[in-house]
Amino acid sequence: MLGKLFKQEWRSISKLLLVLHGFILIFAILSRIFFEASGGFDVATSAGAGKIVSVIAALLIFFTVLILFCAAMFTSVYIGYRFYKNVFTEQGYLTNTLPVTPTQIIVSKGLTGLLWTVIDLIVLAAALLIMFATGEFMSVLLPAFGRFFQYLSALPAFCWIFLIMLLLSPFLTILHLYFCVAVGSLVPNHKILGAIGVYIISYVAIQILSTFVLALSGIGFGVANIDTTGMTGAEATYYLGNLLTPMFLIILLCEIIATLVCFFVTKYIMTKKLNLE
Amino acid sequence: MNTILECKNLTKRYGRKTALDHINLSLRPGRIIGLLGPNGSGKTTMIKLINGLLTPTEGEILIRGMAPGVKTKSIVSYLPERTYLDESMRIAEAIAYFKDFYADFDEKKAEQMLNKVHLDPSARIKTLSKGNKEKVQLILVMSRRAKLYCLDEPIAGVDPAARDYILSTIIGNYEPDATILLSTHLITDVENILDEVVFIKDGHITMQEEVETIRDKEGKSVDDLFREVFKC
Amino acid sequence: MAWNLDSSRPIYTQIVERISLDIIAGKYKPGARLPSVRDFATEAGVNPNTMQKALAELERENLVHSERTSGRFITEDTAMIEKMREELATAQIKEFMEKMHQMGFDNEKTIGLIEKIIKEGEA
Repeated sequence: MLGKLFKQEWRSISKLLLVLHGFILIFAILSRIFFEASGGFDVATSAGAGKIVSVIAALLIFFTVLILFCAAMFTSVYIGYRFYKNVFTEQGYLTNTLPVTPTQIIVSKGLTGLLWTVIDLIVLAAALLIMFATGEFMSVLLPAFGRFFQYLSALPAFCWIFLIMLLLSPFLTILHLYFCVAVGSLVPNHKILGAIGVYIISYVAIQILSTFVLALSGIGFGVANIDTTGMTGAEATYYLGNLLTPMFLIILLCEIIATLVCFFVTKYIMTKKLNLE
Repeated sequence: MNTILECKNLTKRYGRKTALDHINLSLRPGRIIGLLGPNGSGKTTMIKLINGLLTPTEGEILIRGMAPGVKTKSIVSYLPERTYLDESMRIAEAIAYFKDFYADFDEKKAEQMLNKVHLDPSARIKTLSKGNKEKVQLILVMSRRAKLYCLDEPIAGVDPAARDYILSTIIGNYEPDATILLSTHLITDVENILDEVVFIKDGHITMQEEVETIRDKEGKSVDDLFREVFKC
Repeated sequence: MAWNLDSSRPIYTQIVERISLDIIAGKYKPGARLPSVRDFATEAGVNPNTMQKALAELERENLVHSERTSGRFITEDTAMIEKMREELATAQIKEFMEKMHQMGFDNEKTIGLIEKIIKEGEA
């Protein structure tokens, strides 16, 4: 059933997102063609270029940043909106009476959302590369990538923890969206407003809490007084590791707890407090 | 198995308001049962409880001896009052969707029924008229070979021709060993297709009786009896 | 829906009456096959269990008989159908005469009136 849910969700969420991301890539390609036609990116944006050319170039850069930003925002909001629409509106009468568990619904939608978040990142990176990458740039970037994987094996523990935190954060982002939608649905007649309210409140709460955790653990482990002057690279790594590993572990733990809380609250509301009208 | 649905002291409260108050009810398989009551009497609450869209405050509700869950959802076919389909879907996609999730869904039957009312499977649901949307939904629900069909106000607000279509679709397509629970306040229109009626008023069941017994003993139609019982 | 039934009387007796009448009137020919319970119920707009009960009653009255696999058939006993037709007509006439008597027409006057009306109808 999980597979079927995933398949159906993938199908229906992808229509719009495919169009959006296709549009981004086409826009990137067209911009690149413009830059190439006007003598390259540097020429087009330099003061010496014709007035119209530089205005268009500036506009293109402005729009690119805007579109990429909006696309990332939209993808996130759309993932949350799909969950809202499927589970808490009239469509919820079908979604919640399918012979599946709430967990399966959350997981299938969450995985689809996760996949699209990753695709979104890749497309945004690709769009940037298409627009601005030059041979020179690539000759620096590609070896850097290679070296990154080479160093991966020798990475100190706190870097690993940091990587895990990074990988986990999209899960938290999506489940946090679901959490907001689910809690917001409890507000009679204003489910979307409720979700936005919950988002703002929980966002502020998370910021305050994480600052608090950072400050506390920072003070506790003496991170505030980091001083690596006069140390060799290995010594510095060792010194930093001792300080940062416990701190990062605590942050990671908080992240995991937050993810679990979001998941179980969403599940609880879908099971016991479903409010369809 | 001689009960398809059983309620034991079933109670549902929304905050201070009691929608269902210690209901005890038992329904047998193979029958068409009318759940009759005025608006706000608790019909929809009852049907939502059967489908697991609400959880009881007290007591329990059992479908073939099981509390609502994945198992019961696979044998209960539910027609809510609203259009619950993703309207950007085509009819054929909605059929594929039902086929995917419900093992008891009969695709051929659905296609035949669509054909009969001249609905094109490639049409998008959002392009259909309200009446046709309702037809598609009814066809999907009745194409399942379910054990319990829950139809919530299936004929509210439709014209007489559509009403006849809906009722004949119901009679013509349910499985003989299945039970249909049909909630409505429009009794005259449905009483001839019912085996049994359950009267519900202010969250209480006030009567459960065979319709032919009512006609035989009281010498009046179910509608007349209903008007008498629910007189303001 | 198709059949006009009175909801204040048991539906199954009305179905029995209606089908009997249709048989007598020749709408269903002797030996003809009846629709399935489900189709019949859909046509009449009634509950299939009720239709089942009505057909069982017709079977009990020998107007209909069922073959195990191929369905239900109208009786081929035309003499019985004829007899039923006469019975029904007799009942109607008795009821009519009763009413005429209440209005003060005796048998002779009633028959005279009937003959007069028929003649006027032919003219």
